[in-house]
Amino acid sequence: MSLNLKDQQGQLNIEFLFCTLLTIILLVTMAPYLNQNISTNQNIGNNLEGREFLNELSDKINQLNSNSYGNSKYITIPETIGNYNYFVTIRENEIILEYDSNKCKVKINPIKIVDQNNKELYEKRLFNGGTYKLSKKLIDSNDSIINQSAIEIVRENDR
Amino acid sequence: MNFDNNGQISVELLLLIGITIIIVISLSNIINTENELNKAMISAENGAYEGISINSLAIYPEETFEEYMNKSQEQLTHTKNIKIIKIDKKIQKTDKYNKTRIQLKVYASSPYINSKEDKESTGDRINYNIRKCISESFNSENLSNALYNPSFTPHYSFTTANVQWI
Repeated sequence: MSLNLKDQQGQLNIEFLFCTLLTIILLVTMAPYLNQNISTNQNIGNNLEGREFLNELSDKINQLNSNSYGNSKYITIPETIGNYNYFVTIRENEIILEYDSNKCKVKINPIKIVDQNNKELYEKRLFNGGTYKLSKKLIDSNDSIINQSAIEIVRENDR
Repeated sequence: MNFDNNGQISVELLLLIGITIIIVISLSNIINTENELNKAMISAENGAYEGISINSLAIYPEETFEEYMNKSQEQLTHTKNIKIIKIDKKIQKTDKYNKTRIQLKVYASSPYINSKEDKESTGDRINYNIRKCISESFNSENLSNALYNPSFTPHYSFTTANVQWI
């Protein structure tokens, strides 16, 4: 039996051990580099996710802004951006996103922001994971004798 | 017969492994240094792309964002297209840490970045990310200052020249 077989098994084991050793050496020497590479890609991915979300939100608000009065739209915003909690601030002409001590903004077509009582707001904050109803309205503004367009933003749970 | 054959194979294998080890050991210094430079250059490229992604997607740390808003550099908070043309390396003299000094220079272009201040801010961020990536790849963050300038690898120290806008 099997001196042959035993030898072959021995060879296989040595090759396997050799390969394992080489793999471990390669992994250990490459670990910081691979780690850094993964971290770079994650950062780029998070930034892309944030910007994509912001652009999508601004598109939806601009679309609603271009519709007639009475139109409304529901938006559900994601739980996290790249595993980070975040919040969005909507102002008259811009939307600002803040997460993981990062900040970015996008311009929108100017429109007033109001609450359920048609009271003008300087800004409205949306928090992660919420569903919001956005409706286009016509309001009496203190600044102007002409009625002005506005968007009412209400969180669904608050309604 | 069988036994002999097995014995022969083992000796050949041992010989091959022995020769390979001798070659690897004798060339390891050169391979290691070259490999180090390659890894550093790939890290520099990664860093440049990270810097460009931050600049072009205009997602900045809070302080920087506010600074841009207050310093009439609002243009930088909008998304823009930036392209890296090339990254040049210039090998310089050995520095005081007995490492070969290499200066990296990025050539980039963007039709949206026109003023001198905007070019400086954007270029500085690209350079910072290049140095940061090199330092992190070689676990040498503690050897350098907060701006990773210069960034160290075991045989080289990397500095960055101002980005050349084309």
